[in-house]
Amino acid sequence: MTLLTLDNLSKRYGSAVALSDVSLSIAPGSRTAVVGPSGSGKTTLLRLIAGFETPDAGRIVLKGEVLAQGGMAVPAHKRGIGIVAQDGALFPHLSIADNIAFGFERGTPEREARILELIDMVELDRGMLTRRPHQLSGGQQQRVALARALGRRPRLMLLDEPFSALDTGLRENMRKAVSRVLEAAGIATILVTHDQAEALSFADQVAVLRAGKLVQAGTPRQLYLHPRDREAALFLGDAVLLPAIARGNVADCALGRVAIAAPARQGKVEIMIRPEQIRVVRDDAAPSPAGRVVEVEFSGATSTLAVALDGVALPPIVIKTSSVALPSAGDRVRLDIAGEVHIFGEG
Amino acid sequence: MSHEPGSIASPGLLPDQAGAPARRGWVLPHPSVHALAGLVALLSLLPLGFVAWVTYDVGWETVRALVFRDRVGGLLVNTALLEATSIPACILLAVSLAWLTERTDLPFARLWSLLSVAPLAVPAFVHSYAWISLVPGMRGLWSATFVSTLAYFPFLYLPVAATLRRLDPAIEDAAASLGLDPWRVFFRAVLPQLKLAIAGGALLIALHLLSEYGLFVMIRFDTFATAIVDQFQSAYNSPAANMLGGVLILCCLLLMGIEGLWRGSERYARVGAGAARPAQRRRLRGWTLPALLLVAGTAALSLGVPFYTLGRWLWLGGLSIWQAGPLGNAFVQTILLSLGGGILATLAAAPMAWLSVRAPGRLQRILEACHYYVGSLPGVVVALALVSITVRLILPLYQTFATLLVAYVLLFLPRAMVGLRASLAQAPVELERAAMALGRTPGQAVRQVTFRLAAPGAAASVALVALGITNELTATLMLAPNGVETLATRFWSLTSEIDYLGAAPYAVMMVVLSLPLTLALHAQSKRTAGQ
Repeated sequence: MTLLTLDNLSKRYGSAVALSDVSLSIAPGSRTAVVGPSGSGKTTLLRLIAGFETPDAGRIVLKGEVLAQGGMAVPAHKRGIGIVAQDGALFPHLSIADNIAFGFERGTPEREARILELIDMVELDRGMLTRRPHQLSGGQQQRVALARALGRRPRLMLLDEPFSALDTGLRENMRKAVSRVLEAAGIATILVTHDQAEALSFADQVAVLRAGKLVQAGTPRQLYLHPRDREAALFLGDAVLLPAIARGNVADCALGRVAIAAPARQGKVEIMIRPEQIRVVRDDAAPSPAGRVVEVEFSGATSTLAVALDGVALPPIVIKTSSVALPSAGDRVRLDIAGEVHIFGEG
Repeated sequence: MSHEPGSIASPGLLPDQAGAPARRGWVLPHPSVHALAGLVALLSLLPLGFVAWVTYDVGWETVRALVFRDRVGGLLVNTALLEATSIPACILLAVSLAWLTERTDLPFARLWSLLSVAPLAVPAFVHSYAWISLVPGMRGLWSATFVSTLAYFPFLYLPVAATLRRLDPAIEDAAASLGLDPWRVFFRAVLPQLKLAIAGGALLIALHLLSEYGLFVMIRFDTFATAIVDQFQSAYNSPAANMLGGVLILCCLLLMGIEGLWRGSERYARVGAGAARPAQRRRLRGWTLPALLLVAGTAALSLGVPFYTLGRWLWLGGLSIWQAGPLGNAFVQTILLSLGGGILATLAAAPMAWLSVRAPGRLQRILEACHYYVGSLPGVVVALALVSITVRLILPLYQTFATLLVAYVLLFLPRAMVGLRASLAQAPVELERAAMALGRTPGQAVRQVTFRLAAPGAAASVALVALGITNELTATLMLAPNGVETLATRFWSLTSEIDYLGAAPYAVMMVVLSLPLTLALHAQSKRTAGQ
């Protein structure tokens, strides 16, 4: 069963195409992350769902109710969809309590009790209720914005890069807190972000957008290990890409013979190896395939090595590795591959 | 007309660009600058001190007899009624126009926006001249409200439109996602954020209504300003006029106090970082025609009528009205007085502008407040104070250019501050230090770096003040030496003789001189909003 269905959504601004033919479905209570570089159309997608803009073509259906189709759209205030914007968008002229109560229906019984319930839900101190938005830190403002959106008991929650303005440490904290709150409330969520790590850790469905098109959607694991193409692979994390010849369940490449995950294609292919699959072993008498470290960059817990492989005309491959027993430039090393490698579907 | 467009920028609206205070005594000897600024501040306290002294001098019994009487009560009622009708009318009109031109798909929005500022180029007493020529029977409160609204609403339109342009549309999106329909979004999320702009603009208009003289004389509506000039013309140094001036100053202070309370100490800036997306314009659909009627109607009444009347008088008068009378003489005298006053006011404002940028502190804030408050006093009060002081203490200065120029300096001090402060802030002390590190003496560094960078701002200050003086009527009427006539006073004496035909060229020249400033103001308000 699906909560929200997007059918072939398209939107253009003048001659610039913001979105073309995007289709996606969201399950009740699920968490979806929409990732993409800036300008990929992810914020446009969110604004279409929220009702701030009308799609040029396509259909948006929420719980069987058509929200937008053929240039007609239900206005934002009738959709029952909550949104937390990048900087919270709190009303600067209202106290925190009034901000939270802003969306309550007129004459909501036990208004005060409901405000307290909401502020507790987002784990903020009750003493903040009398303050003004500018007296709060960025993270606290985000929590208030979340409480304000939850106050309407929305059918769906949209998060528009709500953590991007926060410090790294605080960001992770907030992400966990928000997941917890939304999970407890059982509200399906769509998070828009350009941070792939955030998307992978937050969501149970990730959708990758690029230049207005939906490249791939699936579980975080699926996308990370089996991206559709090179760009998707590199967007979701570091990767080593090598030409190879696939034969049955194995492939031969510059790193020797490796196991492949799904032997869909045979012959000349391109394989993708995640750096954490590669183990660097210092071995002066290593048989081929082996290589020589040409550059070492120490950066704390992990370090980056560039390794030139013997007998192939490829640029040195760059590997992030643990700084324990770090080889130095000039050392000969062997590269062991753990697990299966991924073959790109086409080309 | 002591508050022309330039006085819109009050100190609170200026960005405080001076970060940390500069080290004292390093670049310029600050004590002497402090002394100069202190002198100007003392001078600006003259009108207030004068009223206090007169009150003390004549004794409590006389004060009571002069203040607590029906005449003063009647003037207070008139003033209160005028403020209570004009201010809401201006707010309603200005907010509607600003919203239509900034936030909807109204056709030709940019043109309408310009036409909503342009009435400022027409001095208020020329507005009433235009209307009285067209409808000779206009008089009383409702006529006063009507003409004042048309003449002054741009003072509210400018800040409200600029704020609307700057508001973060994310706030409106948030309100919509919380279930508010578009009307309630406007009243609950947008309007409250316009409060500061509305408060500032309303105060400016309220002070104008207190100080305006010509407009209300023409449509025969008595206010303190008209009553004081009447008293003054019958007896030069009458305690009655002085007491009316005292009550008028109290009214000014009361209005500023009300505005301060209403404004509060709240902050309405955007919360958080990140770029605001440009606001979406709302589709008017079926409302396009009524909206067009409103903006076009306003333009017709506030610009069409003055231009039509002036055009008609010019047409009827032909060439002869341009040749008759001392038109050229008045023009030259106006230009000389304006430039002289502009330069003097800018020089007087310079020490304070320097201190507020380079050595901010508590003393500086007090001195600066003196500089600004005097600009909100009606011209009639400043003139009255100067007349009485010269008559009683330094008679040779009575009705001289010197006294008139001092009045101009006091009335337009805030305007001179605005341009100077902003351009001095563009010349940080680091640049002077860099020049000195490259071998310049401190004096050379100031001359070659700071003065050069501040020069455009100083020129702008001179121009702002000069244009204010061009349209100044009340203080010039009361203080000008015999035989000196500016465009405004000559216009005034002709209309007083009901020679509307002969007055037209003077009005046209004032409008023509004011237009560039008005256009510049419109352009600047767009620029500060980043467009």
